[in-house]
Amino acid sequence: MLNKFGNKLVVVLICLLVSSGLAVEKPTTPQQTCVTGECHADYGKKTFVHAPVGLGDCNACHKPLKPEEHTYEFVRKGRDLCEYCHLEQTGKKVVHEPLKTGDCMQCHDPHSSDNKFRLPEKTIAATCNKCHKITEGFQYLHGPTAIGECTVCHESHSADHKSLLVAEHSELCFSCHIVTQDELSKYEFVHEPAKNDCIGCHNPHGASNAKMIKDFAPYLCYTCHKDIQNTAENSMYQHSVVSEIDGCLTCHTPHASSVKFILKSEPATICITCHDKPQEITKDETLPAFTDQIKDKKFLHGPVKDNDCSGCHVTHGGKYFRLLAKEYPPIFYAPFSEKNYELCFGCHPKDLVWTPETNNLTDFRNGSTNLHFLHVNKERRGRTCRACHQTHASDLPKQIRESVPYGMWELPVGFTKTTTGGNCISGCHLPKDYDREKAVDYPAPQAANPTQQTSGT
Amino acid sequence: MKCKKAIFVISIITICWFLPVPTAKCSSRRISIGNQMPEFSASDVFGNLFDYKHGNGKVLMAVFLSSRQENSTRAATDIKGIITKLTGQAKRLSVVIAVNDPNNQTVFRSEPNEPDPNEPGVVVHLVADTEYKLWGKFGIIATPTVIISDTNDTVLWVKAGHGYDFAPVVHARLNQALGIAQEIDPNEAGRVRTVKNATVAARVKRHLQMARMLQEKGRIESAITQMKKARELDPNSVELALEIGSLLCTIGQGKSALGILEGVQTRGYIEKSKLLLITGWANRQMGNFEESEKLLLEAIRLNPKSGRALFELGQVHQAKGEVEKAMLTYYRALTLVFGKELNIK
Repeated sequence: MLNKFGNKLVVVLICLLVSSGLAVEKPTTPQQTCVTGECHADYGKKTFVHAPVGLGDCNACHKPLKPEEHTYEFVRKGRDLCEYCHLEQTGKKVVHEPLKTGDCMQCHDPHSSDNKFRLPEKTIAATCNKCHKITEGFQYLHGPTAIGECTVCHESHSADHKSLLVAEHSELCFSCHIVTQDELSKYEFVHEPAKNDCIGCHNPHGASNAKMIKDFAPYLCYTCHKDIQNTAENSMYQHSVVSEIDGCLTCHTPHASSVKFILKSEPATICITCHDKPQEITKDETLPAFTDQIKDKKFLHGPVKDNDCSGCHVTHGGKYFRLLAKEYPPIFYAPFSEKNYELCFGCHPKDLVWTPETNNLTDFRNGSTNLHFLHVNKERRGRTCRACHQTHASDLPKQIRESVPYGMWELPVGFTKTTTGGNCISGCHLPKDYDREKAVDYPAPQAANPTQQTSGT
Repeated sequence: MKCKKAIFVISIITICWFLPVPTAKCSSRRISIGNQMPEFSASDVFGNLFDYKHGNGKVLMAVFLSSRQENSTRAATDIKGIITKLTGQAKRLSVVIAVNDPNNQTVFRSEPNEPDPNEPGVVVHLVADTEYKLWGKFGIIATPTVIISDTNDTVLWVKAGHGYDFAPVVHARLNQALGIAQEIDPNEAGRVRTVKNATVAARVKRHLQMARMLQEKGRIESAITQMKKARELDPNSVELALEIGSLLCTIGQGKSALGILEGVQTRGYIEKSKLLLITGWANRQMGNFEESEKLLLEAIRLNPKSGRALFELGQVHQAKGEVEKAMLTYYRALTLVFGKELNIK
């Protein structure tokens, strides 16, 4: 047992003696340089060598502490060590955290490396990724991120802009997205973030969607458009498309448009992407296809003719049925109330239904008797606008209905327009003519409330 | 009772059946495009008489607004914005705003501005049309309505309502009436146009711009990758081929550069001289000095201000041991960079 242990001890002692004989002894006095063929030789052999190392000028950074023990210290403390030569790297407003603390070696090998800039990793992105794990979970990466060129957008040491950006946000984005910048300058209606805050909507590094949007519409849009969110979510009548994923983009374009509300197309064109077919509102109610209502019709309501459904309808949600902008009763007869015609009075003058006599206000008059007043201004069974007019289109002038409902039947109205008047041949009453120039003789109409016959507001 | 009702309805239907079928042929109350603008006189809210007579050679914009309508308020704001920009054309335009309730108006109240004698603005005549006389004369049925005549008193355009396209269309039609040059066809002014930044051209430009930024930062390999991506999108681009070739030569890959430039058809002497320079540069890198010299001399002949071509030619001379020629060529290249201040001894 003792022999075995003794043998092992002899072998260890021999090894120690041999190794001590082969090893170079550390110098115990200050040397001209530390990079020699025998000492620290690797420092000079890599592809990228720090200039003082290449010159053998180790004293640029190190000074002897106890030479007899071969211990050294840095010639300057903290960030001063590197800043002494590399002052230009730290002179801007925003300084990279490692640089602030003088921890330059977090990103650079102080002596030499096979990687450019003596980085610890092969690429800039791999180096940055050690601390900034910004691409995790992303399916799509922004161009510079994808190729690992973080320095296209960020300075690595210091910058005058937040997040060490090389330029202000949009200015930076436009340095590559030059066509977008050029296009935006030609539009009057530009989405506010597109002017100066691209990263308000886009993640500059990447995302799980191809456009690198921070979140899907409407949630992204709601981060700014709280009022729309409130309308969309809390209105009595809601527009289903608004709450759908990417629903906002059905009507709006994200960057700029030649028209207000940065619409992506003419309103009617947008609306008929859905309303060209019947839409089920509830189990019991289906909205007929809008396109069927206007197909081949000779007379279109002004807003319909102008492709502007928003003339009468709101788009995000509202308190009136059919998403109408204002009150417009769905019923045929209604006691006269100005409130019932709010929608129509959005364009047509209220005086139409308040003025018993006129020679200018409307062509629907018998002599100077205002037949709008006559039909509408009744305490009982006052006709709503829809009693005589089709709201979208008709084959008769002034969008007059072709028929009126009467129980199960549809009675034809048979309206004819003449150069000086017109007539209705049936439907609500026996055939009656009117003529602006030579009034047809009828008993004088009675108003619902004669005290209201002045122009009211 | 039910029977009486049925008889009444049947009688009505029978009467209808035998009566002539109504036709839609009728004259419209509304004023139409191509009609002559009606002459009129009206007092504005300050009591000044505005008299519109034919033959005055001016454009008339008649605007009908209701002070109680939101759309009229919006229209007034848009119109104000448009006519404010027309100072140079002020003398050729008359604007009449007819309001049926002037006591209630807010936005379109005429504020007597301090007139600028050098840049007189458009004078707006705010007319109180309380009895709807102008309304009836023009056949208006809704507000806002804008009617614009040309200088021959013919109605050029009528627009009722304040829709999405109100401002661009009013602006375009007013420009048309006044004969102001504009980029947009007035008939197309209401057409919605949007930014389309996803075109191939936009993507090519993005890669190209990023490549140039990378090149500036000395990231040549990455720059080449971006250029190649751009070229995949636009394989016929001569500009891209030349830029890639140049970058490849920068990192000593002349052979690859020649591969890229094979079959490239240049247009114009600048493009041609660039192609000759890069192929000469590449040939020099490959040791084909005679060919390189020939190409570079031709490049310099086409573009004598190409410092890079002179520098490359100098390199060729140096490689061939023609020191004097090399020196002279380098000198010419440096002179191009530094101008006459260059003083080499």
